[in-house]
Amino acid sequence: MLATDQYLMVGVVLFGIGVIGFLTRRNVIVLLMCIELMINGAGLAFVSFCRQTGSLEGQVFVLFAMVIAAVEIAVALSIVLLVFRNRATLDVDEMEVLKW
Amino acid sequence: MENLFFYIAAILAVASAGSVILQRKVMYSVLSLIVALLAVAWMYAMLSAPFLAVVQVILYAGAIMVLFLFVVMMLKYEKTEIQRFRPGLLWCMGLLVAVFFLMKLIYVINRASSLTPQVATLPPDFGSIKSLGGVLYTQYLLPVELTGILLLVAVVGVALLSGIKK
Repeated sequence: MLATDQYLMVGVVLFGIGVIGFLTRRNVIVLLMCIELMINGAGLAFVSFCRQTGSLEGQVFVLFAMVIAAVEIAVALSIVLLVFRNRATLDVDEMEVLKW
Repeated sequence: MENLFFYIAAILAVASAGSVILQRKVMYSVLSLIVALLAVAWMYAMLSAPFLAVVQVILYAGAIMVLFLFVVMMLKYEKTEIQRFRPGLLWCMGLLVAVFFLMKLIYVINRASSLTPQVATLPPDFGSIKSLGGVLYTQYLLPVELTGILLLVAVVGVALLSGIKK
């Protein structure tokens, strides 16, 4: 049996890649995809701890996280569509109406 | 054998996740993200969570990524696609913070995982629909209902945001 540490490490790396992308990219759709990567890294950590301790709670949490992610992406993408319709940009640096 | 399958899935997941943040064109990022999500589903299946693996494929790689693809296809992209790459001070600081964060996380997990006990022995139906539903509809009944309300709110919100012209 493979140790679950390695799965945990893959989850951590996915989360880290998500953070790096979120802080360095400027396209708003790519930022949303980086959030998805972070959620998946956390989910992988949940499931590997679940496998290690033999309790089902982690899998339940991952299920809820998937639903929340779906809701979040639906609302966020419709907001992105609205912003693109009004400002004709996807660059987060140029979405500055609420900034000042 | 299991080691081999794990390494294939891990390399696939990490490589396609890196490709998500490195690709110039957003369309390629979306396609790489689909590969990454499928690799994660693969690892769920290997961690004895078969139901989660199925839901991951249907909900994430299916529904959510279709939403992404739909939006990327719908927007007129030729103008906005070419990103000006300008690594300013803020960009460097962001990269530095993120890389430092990743290193710290790996270090902490490495330290902690040497303390954890051995893998538990599982019942044969661990992670199946039946066992998961048993927990979900008894102990977590209230959160399930609240999630339903949340989905309803999201449907109304999306319809209001992107739909009806008065």
